[in-house]
Amino acid sequence: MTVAAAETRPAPAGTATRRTGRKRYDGAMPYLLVLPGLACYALFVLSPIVQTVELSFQRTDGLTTPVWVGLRNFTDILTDPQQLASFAVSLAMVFFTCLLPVAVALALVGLIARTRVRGLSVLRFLYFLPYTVALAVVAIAWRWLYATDGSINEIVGAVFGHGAVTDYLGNFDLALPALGVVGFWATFGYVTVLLLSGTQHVSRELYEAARMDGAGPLREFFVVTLPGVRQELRVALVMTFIMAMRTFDLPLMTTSGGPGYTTTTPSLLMYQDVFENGKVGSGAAIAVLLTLVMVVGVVLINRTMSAKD
Amino acid sequence: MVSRHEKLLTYVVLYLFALFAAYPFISTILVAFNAPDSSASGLGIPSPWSVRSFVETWTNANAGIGRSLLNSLILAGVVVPVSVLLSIFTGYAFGSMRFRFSKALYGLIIFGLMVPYEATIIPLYYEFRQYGLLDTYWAMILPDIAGSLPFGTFWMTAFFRSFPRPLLESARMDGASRWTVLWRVVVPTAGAPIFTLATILFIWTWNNLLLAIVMISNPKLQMAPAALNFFVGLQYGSNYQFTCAAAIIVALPVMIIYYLLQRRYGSDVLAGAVKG
Repeated sequence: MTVAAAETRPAPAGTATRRTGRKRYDGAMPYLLVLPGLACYALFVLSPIVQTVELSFQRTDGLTTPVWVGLRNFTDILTDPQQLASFAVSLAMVFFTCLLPVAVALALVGLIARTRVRGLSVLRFLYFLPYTVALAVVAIAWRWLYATDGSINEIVGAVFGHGAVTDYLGNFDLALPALGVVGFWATFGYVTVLLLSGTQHVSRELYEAARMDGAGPLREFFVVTLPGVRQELRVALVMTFIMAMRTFDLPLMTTSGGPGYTTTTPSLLMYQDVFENGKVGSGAAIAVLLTLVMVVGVVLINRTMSAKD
Repeated sequence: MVSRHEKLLTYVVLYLFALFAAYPFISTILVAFNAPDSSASGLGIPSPWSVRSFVETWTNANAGIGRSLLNSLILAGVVVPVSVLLSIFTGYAFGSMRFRFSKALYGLIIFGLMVPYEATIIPLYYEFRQYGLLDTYWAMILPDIAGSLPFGTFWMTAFFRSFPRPLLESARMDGASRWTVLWRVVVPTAGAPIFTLATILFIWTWNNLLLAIVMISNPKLQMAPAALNFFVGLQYGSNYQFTCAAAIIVALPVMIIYYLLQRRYGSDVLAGAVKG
């Protein structure tokens, strides 16, 4: 408070407001403002990350003294097809939860941008609804939809006969795509609403102008709509990519990673390693690898999206 | 002009996707209104409609769904206001002030947007165990606040950057301190972004399953999504009347808040405000 008070007068050089070259600094107040948040972040995010990296070089069950094993945990994961497969599962989820929803949302937004759609606020509300509920809730809803006596099988049975009824979540080939559909359901509306908010600052004249020039629907989309929502597109890609890579709640509560390991994601593997099997070092190594993949992915998305400038 | 034909096609496509979005909710609600002992079917309308599945789910002592709602509310009631306050501070500093290392510090905090809980939860678990904090609210509150901060900082910094500078400066000219400016000039006009941030953080805090199942094992302290997970593991796991009733009960608070927010500000506020 006293710092703030001291700053109220336009102070000469040397006091709270200092002049360094052409830049004016704001003294101690910004540091005081940042401090509580930063301290909390340092204690409960930054420091644990460093410790996780440390753990990833150790063999420990969390109780006995850890043994330093160098890169052993990493080489073990990278040479074990089963554990590597978990990363393939999360990449499949990136397709279903990130790329596919973005493609569909772009198409929907392209359609909406061309027409004056009535009842858009109702549509927006419905589209966004899946994103607001917990994935634990989503998992329960879809367990019921996929159940052998659930509604999807009831429709399939009515159309194709009782022989077509399938236990989707228990099927080696279908469990992962079935979870993928859930992932798609959970994010496509979020992405659509996000992109829609971007089209609102694309002026209607641009569309009129494009049409005067004889642009067809596709050209109109690529020339007017797409550039207009680029910023929102970037955010949508980053947010859903992160969500897809971290897929955990859905397999935990629907398939437990099965059948076999067909729906085991890195997050689930880490959880099982550390909290069920006492392989803490190995779990930490998975967490480190997962974080690295995520950071690289986010940087790549940002690069690609800003390269289009 | 767009042809009638195309207009019709647009509406059909848009409403088909709306139906796809709503369908799991409808199916879940329908099955939950079946009596516990009736045999529910996928598309069937419950006959007769019964709230007994809700009542039995709510009162089931083993499941503790009701208690878990209270726990999650207490958690969010602490995490959300504290995170929002800390984010207003950091956002005010990064978004409207000049200071040494501001770029580096901002980058350091924003880096947290890419850090999943997976990367921090193992050491946090062992540390909290060592200090006897497992199975306390602290084991949830502290990581949740820290985890909310990168997004909150990003959000509020974007807001303060877009805040009209002349307004900030004229208030300062009138002799108001930066602290007064923040509370008298800025915050009163920032209702929408602050309320939106609060809602997003509420949703994230409420829905965080990983942290809840790792940090809390005492059934009395169970958070709502973890209680759902626990509930599925009980013998009710394959009784969809119960699991779906439980899911609806857990989803309801968030959906009510979302409904109120979008009624007041429109539904794209949650998704929006992305200009960084």
